[in-house]
Amino acid sequence: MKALFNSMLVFWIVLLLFSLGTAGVVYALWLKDVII
Amino acid sequence: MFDFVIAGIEAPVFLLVLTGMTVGMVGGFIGVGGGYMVTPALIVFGFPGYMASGIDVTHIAGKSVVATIRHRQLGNIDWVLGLAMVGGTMMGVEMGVRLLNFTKDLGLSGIALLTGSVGIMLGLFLYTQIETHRAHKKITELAKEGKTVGRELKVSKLPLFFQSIALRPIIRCHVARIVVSMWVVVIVGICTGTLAGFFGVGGGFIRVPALVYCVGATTHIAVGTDLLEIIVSGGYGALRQFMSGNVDICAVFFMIIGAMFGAQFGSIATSFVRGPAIRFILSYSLILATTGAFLRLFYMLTAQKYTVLNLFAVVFTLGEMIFLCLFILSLVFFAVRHRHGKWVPDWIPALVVVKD
Repeated sequence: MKALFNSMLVFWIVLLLFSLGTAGVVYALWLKDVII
Repeated sequence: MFDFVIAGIEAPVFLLVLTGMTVGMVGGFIGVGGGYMVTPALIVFGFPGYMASGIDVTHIAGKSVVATIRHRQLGNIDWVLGLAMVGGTMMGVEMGVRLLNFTKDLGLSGIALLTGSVGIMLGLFLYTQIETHRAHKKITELAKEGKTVGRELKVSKLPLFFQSIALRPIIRCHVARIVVSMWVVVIVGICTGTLAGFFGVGGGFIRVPALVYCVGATTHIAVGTDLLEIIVSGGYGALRQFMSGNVDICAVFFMIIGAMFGAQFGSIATSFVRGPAIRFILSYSLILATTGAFLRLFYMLTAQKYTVLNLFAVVFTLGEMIFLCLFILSLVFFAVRHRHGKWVPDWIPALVVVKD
């Protein structure tokens, strides 16, 4: 894992995918009226 | 849900505070208002478009005051540079708004505007990304040779060209440590202000690269000085929007609660990193904003047929804010680890400051 994050691009992509996933979950929860 | 009487809608307070905090953090770190993230987010939360712009610009003006105070304490503001630029910026914004009305009269649609904004942001992203990668590589090489590297390193030759223009009056910016023709500063202000007024944005993401690559300021000074500009331009915008009845003060209040904390953190985080780290985050924010705008452009070009594109644009806008915050938090986290001699990825030491 440490060797993987030695590449800035890999770190960038992992973080972006995580962020988009989180945003997707938050938006879905909001659409389902879980987050009010 | 909170009933926003002026806007006439119900919206989630939690998400408003969170949006304020994330955009505040990004804004305090890279010196932008963040309108390109906040306005689409507010529209998603249910605010009408005109109300979203009004709330956005009002909260940006308030947040910029907090961030500017903190940057002043960190010594990142050059008042001479800021005040020399502010007149040009205001003139440019007015010219941009008039140019926008002119193009509207010519019958140019919103699609043309969106295409222009995508083109400019993409160009800025490519230049910033290439220059910053070179600077990052050079810092790594210098560090390997055992040489001391300061807080800033740029490989661009553009500042030298602009500083060599000897048109009087010449101004001496003591904090930024630059000597430059007043005309360069004013014209940069007019150009960036025009683009800002034309595209309907605060213009921070155009002004920060302009201050770095045209005027020759360090990235930290560019961020602090740009936030000072945003107080003036954002304050003027807020006043205009308030007089037009486009501001729901309750929504602004909730957003500023989050932004106060975010802007403080973002501003303090700049003291942990070198200039190229800020430019990296700036270029990432540019490409993400470009992609979000491109998705909306594609949605409009396809006659709003594919709603999935709009869904992607919404998720992308929210994801972009989370991503930029996490990246800033990661840089601070790794900077602290590096100071304590713990393991950090290979690309981190060139981006962070070892000691205050």
